[in-house]
Amino acid sequence: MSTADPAEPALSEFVARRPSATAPVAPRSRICRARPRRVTRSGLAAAVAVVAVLAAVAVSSPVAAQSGDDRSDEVRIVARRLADARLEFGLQQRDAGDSWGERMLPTQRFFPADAAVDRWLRSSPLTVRVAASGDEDAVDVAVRIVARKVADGRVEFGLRKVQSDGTLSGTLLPRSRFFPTDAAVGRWLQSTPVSVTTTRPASAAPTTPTAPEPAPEPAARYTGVAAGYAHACAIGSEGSVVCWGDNSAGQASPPPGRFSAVTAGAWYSCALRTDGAIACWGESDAVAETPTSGQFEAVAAGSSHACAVRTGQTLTCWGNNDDGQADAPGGQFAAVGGGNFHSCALSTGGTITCWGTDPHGIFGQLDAPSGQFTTLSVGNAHSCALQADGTAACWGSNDTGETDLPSAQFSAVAAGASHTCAIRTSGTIACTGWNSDGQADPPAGQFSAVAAGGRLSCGLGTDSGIRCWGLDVAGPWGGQFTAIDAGDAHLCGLGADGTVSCAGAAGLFGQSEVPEGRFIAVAAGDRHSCGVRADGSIACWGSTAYGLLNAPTGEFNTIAAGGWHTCALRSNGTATCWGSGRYGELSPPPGAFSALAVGWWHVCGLRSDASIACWGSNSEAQTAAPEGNFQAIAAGRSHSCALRSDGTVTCWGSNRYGQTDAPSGEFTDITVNDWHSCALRTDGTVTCWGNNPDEDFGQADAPEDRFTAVTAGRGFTCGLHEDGTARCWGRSPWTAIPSGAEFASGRPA
Amino acid sequence: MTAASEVALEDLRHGTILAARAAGASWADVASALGIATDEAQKVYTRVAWRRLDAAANLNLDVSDAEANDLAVRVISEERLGLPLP
Repeated sequence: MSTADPAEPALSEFVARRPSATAPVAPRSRICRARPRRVTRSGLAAAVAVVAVLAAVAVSSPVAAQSGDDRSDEVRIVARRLADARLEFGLQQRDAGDSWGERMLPTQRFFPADAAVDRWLRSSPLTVRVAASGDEDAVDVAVRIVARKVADGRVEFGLRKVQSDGTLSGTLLPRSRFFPTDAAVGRWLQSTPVSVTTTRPASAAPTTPTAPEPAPEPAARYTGVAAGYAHACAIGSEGSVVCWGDNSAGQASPPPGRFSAVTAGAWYSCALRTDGAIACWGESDAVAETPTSGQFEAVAAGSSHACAVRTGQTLTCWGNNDDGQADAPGGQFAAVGGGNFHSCALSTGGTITCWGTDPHGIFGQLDAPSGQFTTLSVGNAHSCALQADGTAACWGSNDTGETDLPSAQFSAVAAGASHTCAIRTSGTIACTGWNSDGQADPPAGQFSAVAAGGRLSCGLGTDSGIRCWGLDVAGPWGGQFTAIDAGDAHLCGLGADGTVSCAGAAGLFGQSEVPEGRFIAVAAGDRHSCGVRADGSIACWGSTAYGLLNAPTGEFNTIAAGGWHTCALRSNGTATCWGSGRYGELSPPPGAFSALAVGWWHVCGLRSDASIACWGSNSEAQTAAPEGNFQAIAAGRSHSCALRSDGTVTCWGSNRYGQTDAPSGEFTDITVNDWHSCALRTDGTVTCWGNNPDEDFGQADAPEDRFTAVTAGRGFTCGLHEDGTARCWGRSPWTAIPSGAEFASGRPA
Repeated sequence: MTAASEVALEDLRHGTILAARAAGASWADVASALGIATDEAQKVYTRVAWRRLDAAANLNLDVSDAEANDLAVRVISEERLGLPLP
């Protein structure tokens, strides 16, 4: 029996709440003078429109293809509210046609009304039969439905595969997956489909029903950390490097690969690959002259030169050698460090040797102490080492007290530009020296590693998390999100619990400083951000220019932020805009909309009848929207793109860099920036087109990951993985979005 | 106080800091003379130095990124110490 029921409503509004954004920005960096741009993306709003759009998306929505998977079948989660307030849930599998099979109800299938917020519970297993391909047999795949209550009372559903060893896979999250609080008792609601994939026969489902229990927590995160002048990098638990902070020279844009160690210079970074090779990035002579051959055991970045220990324990240095700091001595060494005008190394016998120059003959940074040491760290003009008993010895400049470590036993020491931090054997950190930004004011807590840079310091906690202090570059941004939106130099994410967090643009206009509270939508603009709170009111933060923060009162459900203005949709679908209205951006036409996209000087809206209306500047025909039926829309600097109901993309407006030359194919999401555009294919991959070659930071070079959404910022683009983690590529020219080839929002993939 | 006057006063403090440092005063001495904490004196130095470096770099568009970075390292560290550039 089949239960195809087109009238059966979808599970709430999830995809509909994705916001839009755009962003221009004045040049900020002294090095990168790229011009501003913006992005936008669509969301949904009115319930009727939501259903229409979701229906279109559902045909080709989240494909959870994983590496090596070769067969898949679509399922959807169904749920209903019972009279006693519990939720009953089950699964439906798509039949050979387009209809849906019978509801499969697991033994454990009741979600308690009094479940704790954010606590994942799971059902007993169900078996999904994945269709055969060619002459292969069909394969049974065991799955569990997982669910948790979110802060606003809704219940979020997902699906996890039972793997051959009995463990659970990552969570497959349907686009529409939130069970509303006001659903009628007894009425079954459905999620959007997800694909269940497999490459090999799956394990049989356990036959013993299990009680609901918490899903496992994500794994530990980091194994190493390094700090430069105003940026920092860390090694993820799986060997990838992520960086954050100042990215004006590309120092926070690490290459892909697996690494065992990372080090940071003033405006560059280096890391040791697991195969023994060295990779450096950023701007420095040390980057340009990075050794391209050889095997290494350690690498250390100085201000503008770097040194490394080869596998045979010999030294090599490269980069700036104006002061002899790259004239590595012969001998056998276990560790090395680079300063400003000098370097020091720890021999395999435990003695220390320094070379280079003391430019004014007053610091004594070359006067290494005698004795036996186990650890060495080199700062700009001072160095510190630890003896086997944990006592520290520092030498060189003490101009700001950087060598005045307190009397204690230490397990690690880090000499920064002009300050020093060390970990006591108790696990706490002590710092001394230059404290212009609070880099010598460590937080309380237990740490296993420490890094001292120029204006910041970072520590690796015993919980494998990273904490930084000093210059406000925060730490590696992370989390699991239901939506992300990129602004000019920052990125905001909406968590499943309704919290919003933003990263990037630290110290600029406060656009990443999110107020407390729960939200249902967020939009990142140029110098500001806005969100719709759970009660429908709007909160904005960041620049006060042009009244950007003067949001209207009332109840809203969708918001989109641009360079100098913001628009939102009231619950009846009418649009309201505020901010700068120089070109008529604040004058939306009457009528109901289901989504908005805010560009630099124009706005486009998706009407409830699936047509498009644009207003504001039409300098390059960016408001000359084509006719037809659409499901999503994006507005940029002077062009716009939209996703037709059949999944094809069409663009209009400026085509200076090919940004309106949309590729063929079927897509599920669209985003544009000032010079580039990106869309999400039905297989989850991202395709980008157009780009200004003078501002090419790799923002149009999408990785091969599978995403469920994509958003473009200035110089970078980010995708949202099925599991809620984000990955960004390209780079933000200043105060970067944390970046890394494997960056996956707080949990390196 | 206007933003312009705040910048002018910060520049004044910065000049005083550099002169005192060039004469051999410690950071603690400088802070004491200015009636501010050592951290605050260092913040004044950092803010002004970087504002000036930004302004200078924006006027010298031909300098390479690597040159700009090396220059920044050298200028900042030497200026802070009140030392003549090598």
